[in-house]
Amino acid sequence: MLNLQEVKEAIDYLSPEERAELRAYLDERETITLRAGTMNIDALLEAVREMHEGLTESEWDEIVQAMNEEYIEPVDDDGFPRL
Amino acid sequence: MIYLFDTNAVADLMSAHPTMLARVRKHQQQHVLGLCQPVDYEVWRGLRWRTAASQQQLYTNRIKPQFEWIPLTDADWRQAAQFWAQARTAGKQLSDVDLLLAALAFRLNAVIVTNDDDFDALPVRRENWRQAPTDDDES
Repeated sequence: MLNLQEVKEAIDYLSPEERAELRAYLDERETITLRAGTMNIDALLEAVREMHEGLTESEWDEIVQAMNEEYIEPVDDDGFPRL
Repeated sequence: MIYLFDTNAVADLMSAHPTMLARVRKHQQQHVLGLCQPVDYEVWRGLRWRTAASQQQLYTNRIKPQFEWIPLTDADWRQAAQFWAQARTAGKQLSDVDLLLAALAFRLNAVIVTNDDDFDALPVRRENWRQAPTDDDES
């Protein structure tokens, strides 16, 4: 069994293709181990209450607007981005 | 079931929207409630715009960890590009953040929690938790 340091050192000897395969393998493993039940809405609400302290309603609205701004490149009739 | 939160849904949660809170409370034990990098970027962008460091720490240390962190893979970026091309061919344009979130949902067979109907142009499922559940919702 290799320890983490040995695994890290072994990565240096992998080809680019093998590294890509390793990355895909790790991504797949991450997906398999997704956890339910991480959310505690009461704990989240307590943090939200603290976050809103000192902020006016209009300041919070500005923050939400900044979160939700979407950037889409306008396209002309010829299919190319408008410059 | 895996539910992926879009930015507007996280904003609703952080605004203590009552219907959103009720639906999260209903789902929090049994289901994966996920957050990914593009949405985290947009939430962080808004907080950086107006809040102090202490409030940003609250998000990082106490709000974000309530979600299951689900990072994008290289394949998700490719899928997002595919969705961009499909949508463009159909005469629709979506933001890159929406395309990346949709690609992740597509891979995981997840439901996107959002009030944005732009996602209806893509082969992904969405639910609007600002509203009471409909017959079409998963649970």
